[in-house]
Amino acid sequence: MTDTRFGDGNDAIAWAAQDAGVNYIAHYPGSPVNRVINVLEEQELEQKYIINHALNEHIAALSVMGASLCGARSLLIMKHVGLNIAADPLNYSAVTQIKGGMVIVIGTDPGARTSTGEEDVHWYAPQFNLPLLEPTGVQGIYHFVQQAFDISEQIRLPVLIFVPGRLAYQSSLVTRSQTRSNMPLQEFSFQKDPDNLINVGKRAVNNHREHILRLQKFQENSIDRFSTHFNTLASFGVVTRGASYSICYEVINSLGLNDNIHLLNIELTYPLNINSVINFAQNKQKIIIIEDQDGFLETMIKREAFGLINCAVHGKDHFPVWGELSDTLIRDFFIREFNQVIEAISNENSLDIKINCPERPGSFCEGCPHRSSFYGIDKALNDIRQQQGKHSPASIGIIGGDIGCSSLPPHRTDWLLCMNAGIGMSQGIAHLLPEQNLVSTGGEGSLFHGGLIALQSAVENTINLTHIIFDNRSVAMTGHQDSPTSSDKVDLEKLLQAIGVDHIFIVGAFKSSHVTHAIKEAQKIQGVKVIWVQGDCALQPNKEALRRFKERKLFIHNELCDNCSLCFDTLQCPAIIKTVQDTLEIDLHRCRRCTACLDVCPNNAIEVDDCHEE
Amino acid sequence: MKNSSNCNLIISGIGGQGINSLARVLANFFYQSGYSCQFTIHKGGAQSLGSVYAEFRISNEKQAILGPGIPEKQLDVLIALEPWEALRHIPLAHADTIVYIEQEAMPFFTERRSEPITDKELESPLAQLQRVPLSIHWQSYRNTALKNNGSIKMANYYAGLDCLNAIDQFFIHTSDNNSQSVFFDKLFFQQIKKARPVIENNHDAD
Repeated sequence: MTDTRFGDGNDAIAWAAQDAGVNYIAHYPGSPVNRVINVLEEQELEQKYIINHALNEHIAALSVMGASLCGARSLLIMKHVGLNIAADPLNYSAVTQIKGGMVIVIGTDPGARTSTGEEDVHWYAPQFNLPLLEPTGVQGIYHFVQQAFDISEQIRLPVLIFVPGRLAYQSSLVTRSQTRSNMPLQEFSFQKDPDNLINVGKRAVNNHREHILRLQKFQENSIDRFSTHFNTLASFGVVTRGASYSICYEVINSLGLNDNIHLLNIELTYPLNINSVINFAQNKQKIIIIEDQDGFLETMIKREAFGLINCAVHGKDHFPVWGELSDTLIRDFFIREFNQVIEAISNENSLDIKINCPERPGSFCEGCPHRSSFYGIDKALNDIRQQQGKHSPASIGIIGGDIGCSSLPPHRTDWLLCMNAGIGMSQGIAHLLPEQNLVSTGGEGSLFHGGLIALQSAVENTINLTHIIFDNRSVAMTGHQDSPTSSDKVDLEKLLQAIGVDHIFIVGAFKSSHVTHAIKEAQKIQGVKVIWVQGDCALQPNKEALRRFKERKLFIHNELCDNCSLCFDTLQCPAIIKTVQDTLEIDLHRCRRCTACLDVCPNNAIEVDDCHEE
Repeated sequence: MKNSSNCNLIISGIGGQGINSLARVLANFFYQSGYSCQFTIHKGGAQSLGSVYAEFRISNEKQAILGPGIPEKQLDVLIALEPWEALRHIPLAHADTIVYIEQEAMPFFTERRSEPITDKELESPLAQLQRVPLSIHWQSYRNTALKNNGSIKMANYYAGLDCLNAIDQFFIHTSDNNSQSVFFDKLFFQQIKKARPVIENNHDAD
């Protein structure tokens, strides 16, 4: 029985895993594959699989390897940069001869739409020596994830699947077909296997050899992992992969070049079955490889087909290695290449429109704890600067920034690079420049991802560092997955004390003056200090927040307001608006009643009306 | 109207205006009305107040192979819940693009610290759009929703109705508009649980 419904790439990954009988799933949340786990969680009890909400990608990868060695079909999900963290264990995943199918789904991000970088992680496939499948559409994602479990079990190697952002967030009809019930937990067991699992010395070399031989056999047998389109007799060949395929197809079709081009889409991009490319190239005079990012496929084809293909092979000499490959870039290429063939393109229907429209990158939500926290940080650093008699703009303090919602526009920190860059880079600066006015920041998700070790390292090295933990009890940016502070399983204060942090300040996020005071006090103390700023995500309101929203109303008394504009210009709460009379007003449709503005107003011009406040 | 089997539609606005939920309703509407369709929602990293748009590629061919994005100058229908967010996508338009735009602009919150967005150096979106050689249907989705449903959050519902009209125009249908909107209503209120129906006494609007 088939089931057809709309789904995006995230849905397709989750549905395929369910239909393949997945037993064990581990992940670290990250866009563009952030929603896979939410879909899987909806069926967790019914489907009887186990989900490991790992605190980082390294542990997620290892746990999936463990489950797979017990015979469980296992799924590992993370974004492209997470692969850097998981790379260490994944280098060893192949030699273990995994038992249950192990599928690794990576969300990639050409164009950096939802990431701090567009790093091309294709190069990990030859480093790990693991097969890499690249779907071209949402239905393809479903099929590939399902098939990858079977492939993985046949060759006893984990299988990588890369899903770029534009497929992860694209929705189309997905037909779910074959289903396989997941095996009952009692059927799994761990078998001791020192030959494969004590991977050292001669065993390591032998396991490496066995791994490569299995991969080569798979490479030779993978004779149908491609598709061809248009004119097989054409002397001009186009080779593509992944999301670039449908763009190439549409452009060729729309330019009427169906008779002039033969198109090859490669599904298994590592290891490449070069025979498919050699056969494709036989009657070609020229081949162009069209793909986004670094040119991985081009490199693999040129490496594998060296001396075996007679025609000219081009690729990144025509297309950039940065950004997403657009329809326009591909269209322009074909127009240049086939200018004798393409009929004059009519411009009569086109418009030449020039606009001036600034980017609108978003902002902290109304009621977001980060808004008032940063207000408090800015004020503290400015006050300290004034106290030190430093007045030049260059002497303003440094705010070390991390990944997560706290890094969102208006970008209040001084850098936004990678997980735990706040606490990490700040250590180098503080170590080198102990008098520098500096605080490092990061969410509680980052702290548990790798920040605790960084903090302990600062303690061990006696670095003078003030670190601010923004604890909103949620991994908010990627869809509100739980963080360790969402439950009572961990006592963060005791944990911080246990790793040697002697000075811990606990403050509420919506009282920016308390944040300011804590920073100023902390800066007087030498050593590692932590300011634990607590305030729930506005989009995950607790009972008290819901009560406040229902029962409170906030007003600005214009007769008390002297237009200092701190609430409007500096706090920048979107719920505070300017009226046509140039006075300030609170938009109660937007206001979440967090009352952060009360603490900011020097004139007590903002009143909260709470009939149930005691 | 354009004689084509494919229609490219963008619905644009700001985080929190319900673009995502409207897109899901429309996808089901188009599918159940006999079209094939694919769509992508672009929302960036921010949870709210950033640019959001849904990019639809609708076809009356069953097996159309189309790229994920709308090619330049091939935008057939633009429905915008905010004029800046209309302006952002207007370069994709061609001479026959059907355009519906909410006329009330929303502030750029992140710009408050520097020069306000309405500064003279930056011309208003309405002025820029009025120079575009297209027949623009100026709408008041927010006010209509506030008046009829008691909540600006229902603005996406009225934008959705314009999507139906525009798609119908594009494919030159002579379908019964009333039965289309009844079907759309059914899907909209089924899929969006928080949606508020039209209130009988408009004086209750807050």
